[in-house]
Amino acid sequence: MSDLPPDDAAIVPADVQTLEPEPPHASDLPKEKGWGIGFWLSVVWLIITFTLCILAPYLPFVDKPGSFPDFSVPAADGPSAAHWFGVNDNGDDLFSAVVNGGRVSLFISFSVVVIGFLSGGLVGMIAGYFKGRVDRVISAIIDILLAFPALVLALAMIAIFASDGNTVRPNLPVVVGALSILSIAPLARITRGITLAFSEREFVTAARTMGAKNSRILRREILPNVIPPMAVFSLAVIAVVIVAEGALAFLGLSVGSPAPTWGKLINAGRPQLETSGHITFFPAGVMFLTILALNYIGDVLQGKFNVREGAL
Amino acid sequence: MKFLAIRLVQLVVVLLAATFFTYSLTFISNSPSQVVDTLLQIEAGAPERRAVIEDELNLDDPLVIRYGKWLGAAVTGDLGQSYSAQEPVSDRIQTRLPRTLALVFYAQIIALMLAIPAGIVAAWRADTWVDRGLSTTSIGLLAVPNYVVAVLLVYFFALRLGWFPSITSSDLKVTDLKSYLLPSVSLALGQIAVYMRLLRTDMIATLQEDFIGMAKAKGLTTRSILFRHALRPSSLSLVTTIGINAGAAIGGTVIIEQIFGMPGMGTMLVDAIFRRDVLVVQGVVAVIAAGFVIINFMIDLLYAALDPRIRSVRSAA
Repeated sequence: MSDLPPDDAAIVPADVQTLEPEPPHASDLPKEKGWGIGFWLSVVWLIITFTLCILAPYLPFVDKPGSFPDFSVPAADGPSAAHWFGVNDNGDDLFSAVVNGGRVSLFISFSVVVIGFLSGGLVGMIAGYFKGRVDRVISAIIDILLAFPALVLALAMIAIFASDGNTVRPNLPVVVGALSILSIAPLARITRGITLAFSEREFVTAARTMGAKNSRILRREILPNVIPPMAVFSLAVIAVVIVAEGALAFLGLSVGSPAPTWGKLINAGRPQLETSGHITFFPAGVMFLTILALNYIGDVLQGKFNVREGAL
Repeated sequence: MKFLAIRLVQLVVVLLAATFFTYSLTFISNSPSQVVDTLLQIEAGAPERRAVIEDELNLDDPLVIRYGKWLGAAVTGDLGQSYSAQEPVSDRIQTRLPRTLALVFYAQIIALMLAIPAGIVAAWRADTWVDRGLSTTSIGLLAVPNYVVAVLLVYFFALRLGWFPSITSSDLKVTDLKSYLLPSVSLALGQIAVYMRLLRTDMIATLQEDFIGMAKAKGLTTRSILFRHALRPSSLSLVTTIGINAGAAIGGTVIIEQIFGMPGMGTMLVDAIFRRDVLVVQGVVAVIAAGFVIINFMIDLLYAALDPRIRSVRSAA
């Protein structure tokens, strides 16, 4: 064995890329034909939740935020025909609270992801396409933003932008702005990686040879290829933002109006956990299923598109 | 050595940028005089204190100079005064930081202790019911926010069974494992899923390589192949992720500490936010950010130690 000639190339590869093993295709997914039952269950859950939340003001069985509590049932009564998720200790209908809170939660999460998608996407595409000095500066900024524990930075921003005179009272723009940190930097980084990979492809070279301007190449050649993987990645980001907003709400540092969001509802039930657990468990359960559905759909699509965060 | 030097320069640059960002954040939305107003109000001080506070904050200097002075003081352990508690910020950080670090550390240990065996088994038995069960469990774990885990753990193990305290004592020792168990597990559960899935993917790739076939041909035991031959080359992305996850974990400690009433950095931060004690917020965020950057720096070195190729490739670049 020892008299074999040493093969230096194999020991010290010149190419960093060889360090990353090619991901086995879609191996994170259950081997099923088509999309699988879990995928469709998740889609159905999200459609139901989103429809209820969006249409909440027009639905007769959803109380408006701040409406009169029901005193005909005992305080903190469990689920019944009139109150599907039961009532809290004030007599407020919990189903309505969860729907109205979800409305705010989802609005914040989508706003944050749209901001991240547009700004992070633009910056990431510029960095990945033009490379060189532009890329180094943008990447450094992204690295610094990612160098902060996101939730801590969001808390700091809320502390600074939301204090009005005597109290800390965060409003919608402040919460959305603070949480955008969670979406801009990761989306910028992933877009940069995808753009980098596509800008080396033949069709881009072909377009350039034919004399297309950079702006046209970015718009017509790169953008259509970048959007699908970004959209898939955004699903995971929405889930992350829902959790983070819940954390802020749990701490009492998210928006208070028009309705308390899921995190605050979970926190509100804590004192009565032993006697009336439903006050905590229903909002927590709905939140869990929503995040699960988003992550699961993201996972399945990621497998189909073969996007892997670690490879970028 | 060259690799280390490059990384050290990068470390200093990122540290400077992160602390400057933290420092200037205080003065972005509020003018310096508003900051002084707030601080005056907190300590309910007489108007003549205004000049003293302005002097303490070096408000006569431009922002960059002020930052320089602040940084110089911060490096020697002076982060200014907490106006609500009337004591130096660094004194409080000194007693609280170890508790938070211990929480993150215990959570990572628990997560890795469960995730590494689970990931190895899932990869070894890939596409069997064992693997599918573990993958399903992990995607479920990922969907539970750590604060929901904490609330549930308090409910079952502290209130129902009474095995662990639901609120930690105000002079919590870092060796008080009984008080640390529930908070650490709350933080660890989500991370188990992340680590397990990463290790599984990389391990499946490693197990297809020639040297594993060679090891099998030599008649080595399965355990020896999995743990001694396949684990190390499969653990690279796992190690990087530990660094990134430390950030998520530090963010998580804020809320977990709040739930368990732990006297750590997180409760200090939330408390300061509600009291609008800006210098405390600034100090805590700066320390957390610096700590996170340094953890990631150390992870990077560990990464290089695990895979010697990184050193040569990076210093050549």
